[in-house]
Amino acid sequence: MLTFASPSLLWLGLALIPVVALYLLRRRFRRRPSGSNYLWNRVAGRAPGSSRPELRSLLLLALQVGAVLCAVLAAAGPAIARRGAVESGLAILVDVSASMATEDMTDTAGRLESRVAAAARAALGLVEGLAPGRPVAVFACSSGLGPLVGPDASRGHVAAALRNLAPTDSGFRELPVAEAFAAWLASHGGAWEAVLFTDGGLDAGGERLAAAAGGLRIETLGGTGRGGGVADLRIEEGFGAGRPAATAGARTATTKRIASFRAFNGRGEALSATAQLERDGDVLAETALVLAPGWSTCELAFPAASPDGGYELSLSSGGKDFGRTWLSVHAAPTRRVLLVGRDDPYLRAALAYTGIELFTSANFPNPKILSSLDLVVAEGVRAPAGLACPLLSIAALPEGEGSGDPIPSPGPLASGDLATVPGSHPLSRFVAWEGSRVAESLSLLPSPGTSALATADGKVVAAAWTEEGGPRAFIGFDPARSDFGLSPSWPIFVADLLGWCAPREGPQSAYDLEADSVAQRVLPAGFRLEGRGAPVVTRKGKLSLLEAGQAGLYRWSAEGDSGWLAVNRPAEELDASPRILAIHAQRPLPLASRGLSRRDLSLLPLAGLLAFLVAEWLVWRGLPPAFPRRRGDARR
Amino acid sequence: MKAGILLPGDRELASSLGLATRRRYAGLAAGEQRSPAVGGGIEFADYREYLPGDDPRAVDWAVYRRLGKLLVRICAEERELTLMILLDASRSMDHGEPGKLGHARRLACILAGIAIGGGNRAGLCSLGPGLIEALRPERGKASLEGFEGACARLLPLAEFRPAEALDGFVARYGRRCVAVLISDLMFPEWPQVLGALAASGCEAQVLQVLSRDELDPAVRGETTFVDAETMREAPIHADAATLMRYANELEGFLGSVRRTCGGLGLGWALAPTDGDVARLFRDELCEGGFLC
Repeated sequence: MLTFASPSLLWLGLALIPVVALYLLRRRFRRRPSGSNYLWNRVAGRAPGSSRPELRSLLLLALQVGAVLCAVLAAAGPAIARRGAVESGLAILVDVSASMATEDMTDTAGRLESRVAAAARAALGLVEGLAPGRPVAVFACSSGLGPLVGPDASRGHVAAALRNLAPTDSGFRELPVAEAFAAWLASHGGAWEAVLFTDGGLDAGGERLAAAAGGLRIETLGGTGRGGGVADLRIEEGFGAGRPAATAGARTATTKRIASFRAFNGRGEALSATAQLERDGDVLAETALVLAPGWSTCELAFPAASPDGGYELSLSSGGKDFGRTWLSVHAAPTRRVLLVGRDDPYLRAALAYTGIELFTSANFPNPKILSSLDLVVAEGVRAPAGLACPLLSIAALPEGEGSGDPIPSPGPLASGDLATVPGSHPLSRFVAWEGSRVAESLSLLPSPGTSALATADGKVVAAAWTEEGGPRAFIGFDPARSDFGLSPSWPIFVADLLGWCAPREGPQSAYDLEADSVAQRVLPAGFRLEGRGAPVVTRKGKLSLLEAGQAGLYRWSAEGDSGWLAVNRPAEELDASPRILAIHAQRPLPLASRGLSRRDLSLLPLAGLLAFLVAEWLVWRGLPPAFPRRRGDARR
Repeated sequence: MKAGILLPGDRELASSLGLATRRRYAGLAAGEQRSPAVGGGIEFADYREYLPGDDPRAVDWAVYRRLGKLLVRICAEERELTLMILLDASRSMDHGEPGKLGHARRLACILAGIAIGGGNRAGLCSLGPGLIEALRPERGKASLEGFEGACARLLPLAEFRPAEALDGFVARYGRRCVAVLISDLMFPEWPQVLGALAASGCEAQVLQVLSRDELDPAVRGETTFVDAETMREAPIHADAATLMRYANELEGFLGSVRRTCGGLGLGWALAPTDGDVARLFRDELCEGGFLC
C-alpha cells in the first residue's frame, strides 16, 4: 500500500496547471526580430508562418512535467506500508520508582536483592533469548520515561544499561510515561513489543501505558516485602492541656507545637519504633511508638518559639532505620500587588488575602518599581506597552494592542448578558460569568495565543494571554458597575488570577517538593540551593521552576534570607506491596505484534527527478553532431 | 561626407581602385573606358583596307612596305562607363548590428567613388515594388556627394517585388552599363532576380550583404523569430543541432547563390556587415576581375 509522509504536499502538483497552460500558450518562447525567416523556415522544415510548436518543445514539456511530479512525490515522502506479522523490536520498560528499591527478592545465589536488580536480571535473560539483530530499547520509568538504550545499540550496551539501573525517590506517573512512550514509538516506527517490569505501583493501573504501546506485557516483581516508612510531616500549634501561656495574654518565648506525621508499617504485625524530630540539626523531641500494621497517624509535641526551620523526622526500629521524612517551614515571599487608577473597594476586598501586600497609585510608577511587583491591576487606565510584570487591565486596553501575536486588537463596544467561553484556562477555574449583565464594555478581537474567557453579545469582553513581560488578563467592563462584581465568581476570578501570576503557597508548602517533580514557585531574589542532589532552579519571568531530584533537606540562601527546602518521596511509595495490575490478566501480550512495516521510497522519485533533468538538458541542448564542419567553408 | 555614409579611408580606397570591365560599352562621351566606337582613341584595335576618304595618317606604312597593301590602323575610342548600383531596400535589409542597409549604402558609395574617380558615371536604383531610380547616372567630382545624399535618402520599403524591379532595370539599362546588385538575397525569388540580371546584357557583380547574427546566430533555447518583412513568426528550438542545421542551410544557400552567379557569368562576393571592406574590394573584387 502506497502511503505518504506528507500527503498534503501532493497539492503542489496543481502548480503544473498554469505551467502547462503557459507552455501551450508559448509564453516561454522569446520573441526575437529577424531580418528574414527565409532560412529559419527551411531549418524548421515547415511552411513560412506556421506557428505549430515543435515536437521537441512538447517533449521538453513532458520531461518538465515529469520532473515536477517527481519533485512533488519526493517532497510528499512516499513509502510502501505492509501490514502483517513482522518481527518486532523489544521495548523493555523498567519501573524505577521508589518502591522498587525494596529488597525482597533473591538472586540466583539466594542473596537478597532489590526489585530493580531483579527486574534488570529478568530483562537480561529476556534479551539473551532474543534472536540476534532483533532491536532492543531500554527505558527507565518513574516520574517520566527515561530512554537508556536505543534500538541501534549493541547487546553489550543493553546489558550495561540494565545492570546500572537504580531506583529513584519518585512514584510511577503513568500518564507522562505513556505519552512519552507513544511519541517514541511514533518517531521510530515499525512494530514493537513492550514489556514492563514493575511491582505494580502505576498510578493509572497500566491502562494508559498499554494503550500507548498497543499492548503491554507486564512482568510483576515483588516478594514478601511490604515496605514501610514515614511521610506527611506537618507542624501545628499545640492546644488543650499543653496550651502555653501565650493564649492567656502576653506571648511567651515558647509555644507548644505538634509535629504530626503518617507512618506505614508493611510488616503485617505491630512494630515498636522510636520517632525522633530534629530541626536545624537540634533534637526537638523523641518518643517511642507502636505502629499498627498499615497506615497510622502519630504526633510529637515540642516547645518552640517559631515554627520556621528545616525538620527531619526519623523512625527507627531495633536500631535499624525504618524511614525518614523532611519538612521546611518558611513563609513564602509576600506577593506585591499594585492597584493603579480608581480605588475600587470591590477589588480591595477581593485581594484581601494573607501574604498579599497591596499598594495603590493613581498613575503607573517607573519601570524599576513595576518589575518588582507580582501583579498590577489597572482600572480605567491604559497600561504602558511592554510592562515587565503580570497585569490585569480593567475597562481599558493596554497600550500596544494589535501589535502582533498574541496581543489582541480592540473590538467594538459590547453589551448584554455575559457568557462563559468553554476552556481550560487557569482563569476559568470555578468562574461562571453567566447571570451577570454589562451595559457597556470594551471588547477584543482575539489573536492566536489569546484565550477568550467571557463574551457579551458574541464579543469577547474578558480574555487572557501571555506576553514577554508576563501574563495579561483583560476585563472590558468595570465589575463594580455590573452584576459580576457582586457575584461569587468575582473573588474566585481574582484568586485564580493571583494563582496564575504568582502561585500561592503556605509556609509549609512553599519550600516543600516531591521527588522527581517540577514545581513552580515565587522565590526571593538571589535564591540559591546548596547540597548534592539539590533541585535545579530555572528562572522563568517572575516565577521559578524547581526540578526536584533526590529526597532530602537542602539549605538555601537568598538576598537577606535563608532557609531549608525539603524533598520527599511520595507517600504512596511507602506501601511497597506488590500489586497485580488488572490489565495484566485481561490483556496478555501476543508473542509477535502485528505492525506496519514501512519502506521509504523517497529515493525513487529523487532518482526520477535527476533522470528527467538530465534528459531535459540533453533534449534542450541537443546532441552534438559527430563531425561538425567548419562554418564558412562554403561561403567563398 | 555630409551624409556620413563613407568612413575614414573609404575615399582613399575608392581613389586607389578602378573598374576593370570585360566588355565594351557605347558611352555618350569620351572617357577612360574603352568603347565599341573606334578611331578616336590611341589604343590599337584592328586593321582594314584603305578606302578613299580615309585619313592618310591612319595608313600603317610599315605594313605597306612589308605586304604592299594599304591598310588603315583602327584604334578603339575610349568612352565613359556607366555604373548602375541596384540596392535592395527591403525591410529585411534594415536589420542586424551593424545594419545591412547601412553597410550596403557604404559599399554603394565606395563603388560610386571608384566609378566617378575613373571619369565614369554612377547611378543608383533601389529595388522596391518596382525599380526606383534614386539617382540618374552622373559624372564629375561633385556627383559623389550627390550619390551619398541619394543613398542616405533611401529608406526601407514595405513592399518588395524584386523580380519586377529587375525587369524594369533590364528595360531601361540593358547592355548599357555595369551593374552591381547589393542585396541579402533572403527571398525565394533570388534565382529569378539573378537570371534577369544576367539577361540584361550588363556586366554585373553581386554583393551579398549578411549581418553577423545571420551568419552565426547567437541564439539559444526556445525563440520565436519575427520576420521583419512579413511579420510572420517562426518558433524555433535553437539547440546545438538546430544551429548546426542552420549553418548547413546557410552554407547551402550561399553555395547555391555562388554557383548560380558563376553559371550566369555574374561576379559574386559575400559582404558581411562586420567584415573588412578594404579586403573585400582589394582582394575579392580585384581577384574576381571586377576592379583593378
